[in-house]
Order: sequence, then C-alpha cells, then structure tokens
Amino acid sequence: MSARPSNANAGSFFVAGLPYGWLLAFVAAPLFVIAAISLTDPAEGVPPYTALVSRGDGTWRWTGDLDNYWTLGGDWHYVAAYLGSLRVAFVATLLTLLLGYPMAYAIARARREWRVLLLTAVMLPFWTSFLIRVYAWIGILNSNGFINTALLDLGLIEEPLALLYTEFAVYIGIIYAYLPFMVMPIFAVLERLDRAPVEAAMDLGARPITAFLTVTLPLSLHGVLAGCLLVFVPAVGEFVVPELLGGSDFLMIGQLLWTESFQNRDWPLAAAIAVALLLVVAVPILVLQKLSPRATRA
Amino acid sequence: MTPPAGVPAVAIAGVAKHYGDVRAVDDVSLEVPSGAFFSLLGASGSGKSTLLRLIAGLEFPDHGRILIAGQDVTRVPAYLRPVNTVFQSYALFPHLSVFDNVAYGLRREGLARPEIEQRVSETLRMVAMGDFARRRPNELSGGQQQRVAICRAIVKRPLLLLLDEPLAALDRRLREHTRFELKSLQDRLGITFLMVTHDQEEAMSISTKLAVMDHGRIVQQGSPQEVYARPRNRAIADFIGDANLFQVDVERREDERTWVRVAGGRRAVSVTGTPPQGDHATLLLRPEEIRLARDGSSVLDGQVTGVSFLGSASVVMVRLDDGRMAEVRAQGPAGVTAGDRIGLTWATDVGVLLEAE
Repeated sequence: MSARPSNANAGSFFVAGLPYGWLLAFVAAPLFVIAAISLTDPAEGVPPYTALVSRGDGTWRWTGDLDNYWTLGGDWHYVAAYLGSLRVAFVATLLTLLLGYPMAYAIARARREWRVLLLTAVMLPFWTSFLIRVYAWIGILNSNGFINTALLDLGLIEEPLALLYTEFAVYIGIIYAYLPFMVMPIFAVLERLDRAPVEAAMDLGARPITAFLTVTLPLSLHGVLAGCLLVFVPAVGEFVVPELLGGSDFLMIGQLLWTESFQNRDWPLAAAIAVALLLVVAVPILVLQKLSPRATRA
Repeated sequence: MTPPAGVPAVAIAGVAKHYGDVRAVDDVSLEVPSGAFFSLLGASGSGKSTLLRLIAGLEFPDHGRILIAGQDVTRVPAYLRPVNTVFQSYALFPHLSVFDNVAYGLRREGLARPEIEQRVSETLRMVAMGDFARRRPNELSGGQQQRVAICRAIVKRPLLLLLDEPLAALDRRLREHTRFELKSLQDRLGITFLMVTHDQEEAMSISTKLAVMDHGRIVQQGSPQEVYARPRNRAIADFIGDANLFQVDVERREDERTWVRVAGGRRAVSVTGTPPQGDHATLLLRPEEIRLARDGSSVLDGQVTGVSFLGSASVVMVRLDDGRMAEVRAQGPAGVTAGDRIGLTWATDVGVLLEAE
C-alpha cells in the first residue's frame, strides 16, 4: 500500500472534520451545557447552580429535574412572553416580507448596472453597528425626535405622538434591522428566475398580476421561505430592539432571559427559557422544511 | 373562431422595432392568409423572433400596425390577443402538473371545471400525452415537453398559433417525425400556424407559404416552391437549398429568354425570364438541375473530387477547370469516382439569373 491514499484520506478527514469540530465545540457542547444547567436548581456561589449529580452516602445520585420547565409553563408571565414574542416575530416577518419582496423584485428586474448599486444600498446599513442603528431610531421616534418635530412644525399634530417605547417601535426596529435578510434570498431566486414561463402565462391570457401570483410567486417560494426563516428566528429571541425601543407593557422572551440570568442570577431558569425558546423556534422550522421540498422543487 | 373569408389571419403594415441602434424589425409588411402554415425563415439575428413576439403582444412596435383577423391589436397586450405561442424553450410551468399546465389558459378564461377537464384531456389525447397528465414537466423527455407546450397553446383554440423554433431542441429523428405531426395537427385544427425557424428544410417541408427575413426585413415571400425556384437574390438562393452560382456574361436578350455564356464555358446557354440590368449576371443552378455529361455535349468541364452516395441520390463534387467548385446531385449511383474527367450540362432554359456579384 502506498502512502498517498491514506494521506489523502487524512487530508479529506481534516477538511471535513474542521467544520464538524467547530460545530461540536461551539454549538453542540454549549447547547449541552445549557440543557444540563436547565435541569439544576439555583444556588449561592460559583457557579450559581446545583450539581446535576451529587455524591452522597457513597453513591452517585441524579439530582436534576424539570422544575424550571414547570415554572415556565405554570407562570402566565412566561407563557405570555413566549406567545408575545412569537406574535411580534410573526407580524414583523410578514411586514418585512411585504416590504422586502417588492424590493427584491424591483432590484432583480432593474438594469444590470443599477443592480449592484441597489444591492449595495440594501447592505449598506451593515457597515454600522447594529446597536448604533437601533439607537438612531430612538432619535427618530422620540417625542422631540425627527418625526414628531416635523409633524408639529407642519401643524399636522397638536402634541407629540407616542411612537417610542411602543410595540410599533419594536416592529419598526425589527423590520429595519432584518429587511436585508429578507431581500437577499428572495432577490437571489428572482434574479435567476426564467422570464419565459411568465411570458407564457400572459400569452395564455393571464393579466400581469395573475401571472405574478400564479407563476412568479410560486416559483420564488423557496426564497420567500428562506427569507422568512432568517427574519423570524432571530426576531423571536430579539433582545436589543425591544429593550431599547419597546415599552414596559410587555417583555419579549429575550428580555426575560436576560433578566433571569443577569438580574436574578437564576441561571437554571434562564437556561430553561433558552432551551424552550429553541424548541419553540425549531418546531416551526422543522415543519417548514418538511413542507418546503414539495413547494420548491422546480 | 375563424375570421371572415378573405381577411388575413395576420396583417402587418410598416412595423418597426428598434433596440437602441439595432433595427430588429425594420419596416416589415406581411400578410398571413387564414388557414396557412406560414414560416418566417431567417438566420439568427434576422429579426424573425422579434416579429413573432410583436405579433404575440410580448413586445410592442415602435412604428406600424398589426391586425389580427382584421382587428387592430397594435397596442393590445398579450393576454387579450386571440393568439397563443409555443415557445422555443417550451416555457412550461415547472411547478404545475402537465394537466394544470394545459388547463392554465382555460382557467384564465373562467371556464367551468367539467369543460376544462374535458378539453384538457381531449387535447392531451390528441398528441398521445393522455397518460402523463399527473406528471411534472421535469419528469418528461424533451419531446414530451414539446407536446405539452403545443397542447397548452392549442387548447385555447386560438385564431393563430405562433411557434418559435418549435423543433430546434429535438434530435434529428424526432424533429422529422414531429414535423409531419405538426402539419397533420394543423390540418385537423384548421388554425393558422405561424412558425419561426432558421432551418430551411423544415420551412420548405411543412409551410404552405414562407417569408425569408434578413437584417430585420422580409427579403422574399411566396410558396416554398416559388422561393426555391426563383430566389430573388444570391443570399436567398444560398440560404434556401444548395446552390451553384456561376458568373455569366449576357450575350443576347430575347423576349422570353436570355442567352448567357458561363465564365469558362464552351457555349452559350439560354435562361428564361428577364435578366438583371447590365452585361454581367449570376446564374443559379440547383445541384439536381445539372447533369453529368461524358459525350462532349458539356457546357463546363472539370474533375470529380468526391462522390457521396446517399442511397436515393449521389452528390458529386466537381472542380471546374477555372478552379471553382460545383455540386451535382444525380439520381441513384453517379457512376463516376474521384479523379474522373467529367463534363457538366443542363437542360435548355433551366436556371435563374440573379444580380452579378
């Protein structure tokens, strides 16, 4: 046997192993740790939670339990935060789609030399820190901010509108922050979409709007799906936007998680919130992925 | 569905379409008689596909008028025209089944479900695709996809069916077979067919009438026989069928015929018809019009450089004594081999005189 094949094997093993190693070290392992912590109880000290197994009477004893999850499920405070987060993420995703699809469509149909420019414009906000961009919205939505000042000066309103610290402001923030994640995948699909079937539809008697709804839209559905996931998933767990722009009337789950972890130092409960959030987000994704192959196979 | 007798299916008057500086269609006037199988023949870039798109309503002309069955549709969008198209790429809806592809146009008309089902099945059966109704386009072969594309267009019973290079994507055997199917389909449906093609053999074999396009203009139209026998210029002669083009000097003009002497020829020959102006002209002879002569009655002499036996005919390549090549098509075996000295002759009054080179 020559050394070459085994060398090549080692090389390909290394190349394939690197991402797996990365995923193992920085995704699977932390996830496992979080899941383990969620089964413990809070405690004074470092780390601030009890051991999962303890040694007493000379034997190992399992001391983990699902108490934290019962707490989550039994307390309306938490359930409301989950439902509220899902609702906000859902509505925000829908609004982002309504805004992002036409943008992606227009860019895809624009002349080649314009396309690069428009795409750059979509990506441009990323050159500034996310946090700073959300802060900027405070300045815009404030009672003495840009919008209110303009409306007051124009005499359209008597007193400043309460824009900041509302759910409306949260929507603004999320849509603004995640719009590029909706535009990009849809654009990628629309740009490569064959024009011929759309022309065929019109040739067969479909008005432009009908041709769009019956041909273009179904054929770009997998881009829509990808965009929706890219917006929905981070929006559910969003912390910065509701913290900076949202009101105190309801908290999103990301804020609760932060509170439990940093203010109450209840790591086990915070871990349980995180794991439950993962399940809440993962289930719809799995359902969508089950559905998508049929819808997207072109 | 058919327009009143005498009204052409399509009448185009002075239509032009420019893209920037490019005149894709340049002042084209054309009439397609109702019930015809009309071919637009031209090389790629000749503007034939653009003209088709103008008739379909997928593009609008810069100048001129387009009438379909006597109705001015110049500004009418595609979805309101009584015209359907078989696209070159087929342009089937990849996300819909064969049935739904074919039903698409009928659903846009808002027909009742039973009627849609009946007409779709009927049309699919017509092209032997009845068993494939549930399949997706990507599960079909190229030939099957093409049948679906045809079904989808004819199920609406249009006044006019446009076909954009319908056979180009098929392999040779299937292409020849489908050619006859298209022809018989047209006979059965009685719909006017307007086909765009770059394949002169295809155009000649199925069209009742054809128009040759070049650089956005129609350079000649007529029946395939007319265009083949009397091409208007050298380009058309070359494009339609194989052609031998000889330089000739005009010797004598009579009422019905002209006497010309082929360069390097032994004697003058007569050609019918009026010759172009001037003392020089080009004589067009089809390969099947020339005969091989071994008895000294030849007009031109040369040496055989190659013989291909095709079964029913033989093609003989001859290098003439002045170095030019000629092609002769003989029935059956030619009876000559490469290297033989040979004479070429042709019957009196055969050939067409064209402008000199």
